[in-house]
Amino acid sequence: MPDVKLVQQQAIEAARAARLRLVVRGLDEAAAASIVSSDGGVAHGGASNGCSTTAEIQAQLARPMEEAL
Amino acid sequence: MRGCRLLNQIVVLKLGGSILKDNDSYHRAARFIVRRLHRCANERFLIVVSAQNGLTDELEKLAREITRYPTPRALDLLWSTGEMRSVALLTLHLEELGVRAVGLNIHEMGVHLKEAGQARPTVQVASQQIERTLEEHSVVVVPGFFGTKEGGVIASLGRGGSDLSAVLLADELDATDCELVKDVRGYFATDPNVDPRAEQIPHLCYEEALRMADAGCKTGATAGN
Repeated sequence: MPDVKLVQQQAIEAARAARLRLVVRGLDEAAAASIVSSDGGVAHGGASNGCSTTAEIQAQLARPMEEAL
Repeated sequence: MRGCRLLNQIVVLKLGGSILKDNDSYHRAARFIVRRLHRCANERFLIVVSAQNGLTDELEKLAREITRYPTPRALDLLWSTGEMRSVALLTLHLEELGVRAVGLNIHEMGVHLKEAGQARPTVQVASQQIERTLEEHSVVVVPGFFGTKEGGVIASLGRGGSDLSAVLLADELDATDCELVKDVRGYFATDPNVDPRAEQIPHLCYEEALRMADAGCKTGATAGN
């Protein structure tokens, strides 16, 4: 089987139709992620959403983890 | 991503096969989920998993060793064992870490394919079972890449279908975000496996992501469902 794209076209199209933000990331929570959204991450969310900007999202993703284990 | 202010928010996380390489990697994935749970106790997680890295290809090879032209139905049935194995393994690791987790099978997860077998089947998601299960468990693990069609027959969504599964489930569950966990941490301007100084693209719009998909941008990701 050949390699596949990072995120498949159908999934991106479905996310666009639903206006669903995609966060593409690795398991390393300290590392930055890529965010796919309607406006390319300039402004997101609203009252129903705890994060309003991409900067906040990135900050949340990068927040130091508790040593749970 | 939703923040931590709302009660019992549902976060949809898809774990790609590229990060599920062996038993240790399932454990690492389970620890990742535990850390997320500790970070925000109000969040409930729906985890969509692919088959272990390379297993889908191995299963297809096995099928073609048995018969040169396996039927889609038989191949889907065999392939589905890969995703179900992942569901069971991750659930077991989560249980071992003390998480109230449960794995659902393909028939329980409520993804239904209409006119499956055509190039692009219509997918309908009935998430009641998942929502009910999330009321009693912090984490629900489901198989990506598959749904059922009429009569309960298991059918695949096509290559890359696990990402699509996660997006459709996130939409149905009214999640704001869908997190796709890969073996690379996002989009890069150039292939980070080739160019160590490749710059990550922090934000892009759907159209840009589609253009990169059309251009065959893999950014180091390997095959998975």
